[in-house]
Amino acid sequence: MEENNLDKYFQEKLAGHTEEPPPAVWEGISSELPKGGFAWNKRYLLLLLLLISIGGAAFLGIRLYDMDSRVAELENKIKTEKSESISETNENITKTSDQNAEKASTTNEKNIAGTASEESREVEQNAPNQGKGFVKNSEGEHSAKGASTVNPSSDIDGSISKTDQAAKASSTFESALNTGSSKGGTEPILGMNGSTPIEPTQGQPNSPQKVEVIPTTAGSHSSLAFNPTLLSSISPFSLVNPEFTGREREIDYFDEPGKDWYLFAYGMANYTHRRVVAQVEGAEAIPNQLDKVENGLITPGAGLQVSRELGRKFRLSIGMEYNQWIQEGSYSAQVVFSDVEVMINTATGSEQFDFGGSVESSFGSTQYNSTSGENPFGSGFEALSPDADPVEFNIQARQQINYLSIPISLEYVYNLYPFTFTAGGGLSVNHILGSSMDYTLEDGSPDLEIAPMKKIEGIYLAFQAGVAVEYGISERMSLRLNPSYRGWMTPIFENEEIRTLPFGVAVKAGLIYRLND
Amino acid sequence: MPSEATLNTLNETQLIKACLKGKKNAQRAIYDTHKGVMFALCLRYASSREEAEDILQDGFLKVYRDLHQYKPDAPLGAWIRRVMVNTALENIRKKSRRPQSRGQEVMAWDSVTHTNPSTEMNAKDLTAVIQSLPEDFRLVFNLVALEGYSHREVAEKLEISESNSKVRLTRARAMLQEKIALIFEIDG
Repeated sequence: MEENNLDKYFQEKLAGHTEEPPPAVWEGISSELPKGGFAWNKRYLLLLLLLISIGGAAFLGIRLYDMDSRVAELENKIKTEKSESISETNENITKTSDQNAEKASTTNEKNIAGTASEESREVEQNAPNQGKGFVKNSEGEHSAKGASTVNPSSDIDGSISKTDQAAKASSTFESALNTGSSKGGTEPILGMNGSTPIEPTQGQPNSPQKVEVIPTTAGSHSSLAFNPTLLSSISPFSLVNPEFTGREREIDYFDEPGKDWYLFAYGMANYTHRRVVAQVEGAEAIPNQLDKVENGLITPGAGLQVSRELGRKFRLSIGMEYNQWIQEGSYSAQVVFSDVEVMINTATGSEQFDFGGSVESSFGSTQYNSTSGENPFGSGFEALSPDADPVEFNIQARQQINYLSIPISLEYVYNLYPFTFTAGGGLSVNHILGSSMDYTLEDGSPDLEIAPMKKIEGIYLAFQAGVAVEYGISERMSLRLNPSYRGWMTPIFENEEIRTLPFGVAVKAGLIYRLND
Repeated sequence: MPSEATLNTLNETQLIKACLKGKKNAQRAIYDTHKGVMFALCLRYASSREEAEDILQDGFLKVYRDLHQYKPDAPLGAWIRRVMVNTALENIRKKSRRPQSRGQEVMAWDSVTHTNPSTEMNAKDLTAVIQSLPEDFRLVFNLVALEGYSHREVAEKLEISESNSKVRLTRARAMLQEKIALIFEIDG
């Protein structure tokens, strides 16, 4: 029968041929069908996950940014109010002391002895009116608000001259404003006691530490200003080394907090390998076998990352990296008697030996075949027998994938000048730029024609987590060392038996530069 | 959910829409329409009936899963046929990763019984003859001679060279002729 006739014969005979499958087939299909149909597939779910992650990060960023803006706004407002309040208070104090001096002088004329205490009491009564703005005392005089409380239990030395006393009252207010206050401005810390020195009322010595009095809202109460040296004094470094002062970088904690931009340029060393997971029962041996013959290599990479502070404690980063992943494998192949087809050219008497097989790697399988005049079982035809030992040879393969990553991460930042420590993680979108698989054959292997491996392409998602340490070498520049882990969430290869998920460790090292002043 | 009677009156497009919504009756209707032809196709690719059943089941699951990708410019049957062929190839590739029992081909060949010696072989016999071919040859013969794929397409699908595909087809034809001749010889 002619070749074409044979094909035609089969086509005609088999056209429209049907075979009834057993009912179990539909039962099997039915049991595996989801109730709502296949409304979602993996790709949509991953896309959704990505959008949610980006949305979540953006939301968090905006929230933190807003919070910072509000804090900065509030702090600026406080500063303005503080300076206004101080100038206004100074004005009032001057006024009060003038009035007191005048009054003292008048009283002196009337009755020098024994009446000084009344004037002093008036001053004392005015002081507790803090928190209500400037209020008039019983004689219509103004008193300072919210700055300090004059101790009502102070003794008044009646022997003092009234002019001196009024002047002392004035200086007491000034000193209260300039030197300190108690929490909330309600606890008295300064005494007014005629010629005696001013003493803290709680029996504590005057602290040499500078403490500022800041009215936090419209004069409702006062609070201590945040002093970074207090925090740094309890840092772990100061515990280890008492001489380490924990000096912070020149950051004014009330000036534009957490709004710095950073640029991080880095080179990196990657070690990428892969995890092969068996998907069905009976395929567990494949990952074990592949783990023995495939090895990842350390490859170089480089990237650029832009970061933005979100408050003082967080940093949001986005970057772009060029990465490589190289894996080498040594796959053994066997040719047994039954695999070999022998063609004998009756005209010439020459022989042709054909055989083929497949290379199974964690990136897929590819076929090889050989057509040669050489008997793979030996020089003599006799060797080609069912009892002959299989011919074994190794195929060396080198798989390379080049990809571009866009890492998006959120880091927690801990500053301890000159060091900055960070820890964080995020997502990485990896776009495969190209893949290749090159084969080499060991000496003595038969000539093979190996079909090209199916290209790996597309976009893959990965999660990443890492820590970093930065060392400030100048006001704006730091060295950064950043070890990180990256695990791919989408398999780079998948069939019904296995799926291949890359993972890797990278150490990034480079220079981080603060972009704004 | 549409009733059986309603389903009978639905055209293919409506059936696909119902199927995409996950309606079991519609899925069953599509299965019933195409199961016979597809099972016959699976039998030609598989080396045993059980394997053909697996291919049919996996193939229809893929049909339902990927139905949203179907474009109505070609008949649904042709699209299902393509899915089924791809499933068969995947299944065979998967099988080739595992240790093979070399007895299967012999079993298939042994099962060929010429049902009507006095006339020509029927489709069932020819299917059994195809099944008895070695896997590599069977695939190429099915794809080129029966499905109409070019050698280039076959080379891509099977990840072999074009020349290898041609060699395999030639050998497959030779073996088929031999086997058919042998059957007629035996039947007398």
